[in-house]
Amino acid sequence: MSLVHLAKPRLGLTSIPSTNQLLTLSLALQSAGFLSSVTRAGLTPPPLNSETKYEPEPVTQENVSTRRLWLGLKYWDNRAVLSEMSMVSKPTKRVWMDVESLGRIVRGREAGL
Amino acid sequence: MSVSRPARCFFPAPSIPTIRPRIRCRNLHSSPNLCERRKPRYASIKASDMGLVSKPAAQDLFKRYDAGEKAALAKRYTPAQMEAIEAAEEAIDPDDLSERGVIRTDWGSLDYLDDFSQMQPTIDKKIKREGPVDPKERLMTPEEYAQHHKDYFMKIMDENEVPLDFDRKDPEQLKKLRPNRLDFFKSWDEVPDLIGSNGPLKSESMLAPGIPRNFESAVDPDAETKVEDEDSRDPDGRYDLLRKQTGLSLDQISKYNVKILVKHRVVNQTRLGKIQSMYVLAIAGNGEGRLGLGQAKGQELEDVMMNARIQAIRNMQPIPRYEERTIYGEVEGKVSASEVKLMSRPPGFGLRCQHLIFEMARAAGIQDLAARVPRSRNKMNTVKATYEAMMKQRIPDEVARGRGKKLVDVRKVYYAGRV
Repeated sequence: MSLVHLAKPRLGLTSIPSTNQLLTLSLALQSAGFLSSVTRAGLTPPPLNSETKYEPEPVTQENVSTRRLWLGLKYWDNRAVLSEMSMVSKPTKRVWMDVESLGRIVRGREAGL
Repeated sequence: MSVSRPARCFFPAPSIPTIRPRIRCRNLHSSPNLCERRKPRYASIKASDMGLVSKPAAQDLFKRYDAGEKAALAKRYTPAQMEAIEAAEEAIDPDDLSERGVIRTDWGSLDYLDDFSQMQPTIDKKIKREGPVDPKERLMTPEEYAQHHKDYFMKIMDENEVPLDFDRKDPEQLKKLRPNRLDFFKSWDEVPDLIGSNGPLKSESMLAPGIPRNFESAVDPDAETKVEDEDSRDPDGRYDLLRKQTGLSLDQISKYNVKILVKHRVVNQTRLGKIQSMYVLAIAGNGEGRLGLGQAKGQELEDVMMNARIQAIRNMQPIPRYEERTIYGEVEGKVSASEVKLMSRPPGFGLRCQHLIFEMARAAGIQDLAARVPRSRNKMNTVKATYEAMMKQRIPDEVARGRGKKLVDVRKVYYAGRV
């Protein structure tokens, strides 16, 4: 289930397995402004109160299996900010692209996908 | 649901306490029963619980008076009034107030303020008496009725004793004699005429409810002058209601670009036969970014067309336009099997799209647009889908604010914005 589907039932905070790949992706989404928070926590969500500073406990061998990434989904004007997201490069069909084509894609032009 | 899902049924769930009794029922489909569907192992939190999508709480909208405000109020109001204010604050629920205590501004609202807590005999219908019917209720006999009248007048006479120096020949003093003519009339309203199981009763009055004495003041003296501006363009007054409701003048209405796009016959099959009516879909735009759709159905084509036009003018909504000439990005709209894809185009491109979309774009004041209607080309649904697509545009500024980014359109920055 993708994050787009999670915004349909109006979830505010949800969790995904804590892997390095997902963490990189989540942080990229957060820096692009699509997620409000990325927190590594246990099986229960981190505290919601923004005033308390949440210190995530260090990942150890005991708790590594229970770590999850808690993602804060964003809403603007009662609509989900992340309205559509899909994979371009898939394991079944990889897409390779150089910097120039990426620039064209960002400007909304054809890049020969 | 994945194909692997039913395979889980073969393995018993590991010691999850189930409170509800497990009733096996036959599956008529491959997806698991509602009661057996797996709950997510890691519960997520709703956005409304985090306050991301909800309105501000009613307690914040209607705050209670604090001590300072109460002291300021006490200077103005008497202690009894202050008590009433505090009692009202206690009694009125802010949630209720935020939901119901709203002055309506929509079309269906009344043109006067009324909280419907009191009956106004001149406006409201008379309330019928409700409640159980008394089986022993009967009309009074003439003797009983006369006796009650006699008691009523005797009571008035006891309250207003005749002075000792009463002169029957003096007309001034005769006027003061009670019971007078007014008392006789009042007696018809007040003396009971029925006998129920608990004693005498007054039946419901057959008279019209009381009209306020100065009822002429309720008539608006300006009403006649308001009607007077009858126009030769609208001799039948077909736009009167629209003008009254929207406050538009006939000049403004006549400047709108109103056009009928769809007009066909529809049939309702009943047991009495086929009942035909005409369906009309009209659009209205002001050429400056407002567009509305109006639908009407009825027997007489002239009236239906008029109603559709009026509805279209009434439904006009602002449509976002990029540089006041094209739309923002590519948008898609879908109504039934009709899909419409609208695409923004550079200046000077023109309206290269089919006639219905062309008319809508022209009415809304869009000059550069391309469109595709890949599937069904039903006229009515195409128009509706186009409208939906135009309303669905995502404006870059809004997207940027949602993502928390700063966005500047450089076309507005360089060359002093003249591009």
